[in-house]
Amino acid sequence: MKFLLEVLLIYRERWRFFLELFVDHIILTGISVSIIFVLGLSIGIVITRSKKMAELVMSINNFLYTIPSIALFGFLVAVSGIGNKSAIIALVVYGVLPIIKNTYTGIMEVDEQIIESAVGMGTTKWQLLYRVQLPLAMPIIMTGVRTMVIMTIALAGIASFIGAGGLGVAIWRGITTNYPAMTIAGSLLVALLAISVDLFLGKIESKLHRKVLGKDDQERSLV
Amino acid sequence: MAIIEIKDVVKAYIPGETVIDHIDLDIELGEFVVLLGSSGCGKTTLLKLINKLIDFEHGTISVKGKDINDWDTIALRRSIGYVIQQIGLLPHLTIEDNITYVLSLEKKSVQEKKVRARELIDLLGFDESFLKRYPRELSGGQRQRIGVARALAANPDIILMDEPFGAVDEIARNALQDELISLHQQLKKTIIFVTHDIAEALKLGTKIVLLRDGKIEQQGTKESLIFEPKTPFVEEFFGIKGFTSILDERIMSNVYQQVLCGSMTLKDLYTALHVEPEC
Repeated sequence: MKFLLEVLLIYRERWRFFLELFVDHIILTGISVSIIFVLGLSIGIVITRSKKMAELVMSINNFLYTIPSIALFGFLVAVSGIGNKSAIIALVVYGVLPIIKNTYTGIMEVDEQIIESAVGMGTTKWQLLYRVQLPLAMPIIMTGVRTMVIMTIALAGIASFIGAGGLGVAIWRGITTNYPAMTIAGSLLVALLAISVDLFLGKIESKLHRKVLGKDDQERSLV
Repeated sequence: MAIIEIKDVVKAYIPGETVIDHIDLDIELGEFVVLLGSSGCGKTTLLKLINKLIDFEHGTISVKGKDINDWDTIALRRSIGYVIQQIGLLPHLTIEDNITYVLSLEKKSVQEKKVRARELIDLLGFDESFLKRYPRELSGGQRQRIGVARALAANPDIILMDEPFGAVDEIARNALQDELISLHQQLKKTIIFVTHDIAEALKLGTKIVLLRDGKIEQQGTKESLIFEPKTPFVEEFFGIKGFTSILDERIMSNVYQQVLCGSMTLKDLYTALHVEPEC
């Protein structure tokens, strides 16, 4: 109880400091998430055109996943230096797999009959992608996005280890100065951010599910 | 001049194993052609050659007097309606958006699409409230009718149908067939219809093309196929043995005998075939 009070006290005294870190954290993850989304989606789409490429990209990705995050951070410091740049690279490397995987799976799982009839009616390749394949794959892609965003928010907390901003700064400072209340204060905010974003994305996800997979009349009258 | 001319076409998915074996077929404007045959005879392949979903090795196909290799693939497909079994509708689009799908591919105006959707939903006897529904809220038969409406949207002269009623129940199928016949008479479209169901072929086709192992066994009106079979295969296919798949053998041979000795007209035979399928 006393400990909790101490945490609250830090928030009150140093709210400016935490607000700044909170905003930094959102910016850091926001940039990473945008890059991951664009990159993951494009790679996921490209590899649906060739099975060999799909296998290659998946195995590279799985390999990257086996590297411990701390080791990757350390490696990146040597390559791209200390700071946000290295942090974003690391976050992208970790976050891009679920998006590639889910985009690929989502597109490949669209019913062949649907594709055939769309193509038979004169849909161009590009139209097929954005009118048929992507909308139908969206629920699965969104599931990947949700996983990825939460993971990135959490992982960004460790990124201050290599000099990036965000709530990790508070956590790191707490650890190095043996000030547990500070560490907890930072972690709680990371958790808070992750949970609220997750709730928000969950809502979008179920909306997409309903739109693509349909809903019955009863459900509709309730909405 | 024939609207579709198929000349000496050969298709083999695997070299040496021909699925379509030197087929010649002319389809006239306004004809209702049924490609009939058991599975693996190449009827679906032949259909898909026409809208370039499948390419072929040898021969020529021309649509509206122009070789399909000279046609822009996308333009060719958009000028031909295409209906397949059940799930061809896009599940994430409303019925309205499904019907006007080809129009939106061509970037037609919202107003034009709206008008066309209402025309077609009317033509097929639906209430306008259906436009806002999603495919999964409709029965199999209703979805198939929407599929037909969609194929008509861009007002194509030719409509290709690949066993479109195969997945609907008997009663709905009968209604769909009747509707298609009246649409054909009303709109004068050229329809090419694939089926393995003899009763369906006899009921719908103004011309029946019987396929066997990638070759045309015989083509012509239903009368010529039944009463002037050129090969034993055709005779068997359309003979009493063929019909017993639809009707009880005893009744059928009786009916058949009546036709042969002239006490029953061919028209009566078809009435017997389609109006009382349960006898």
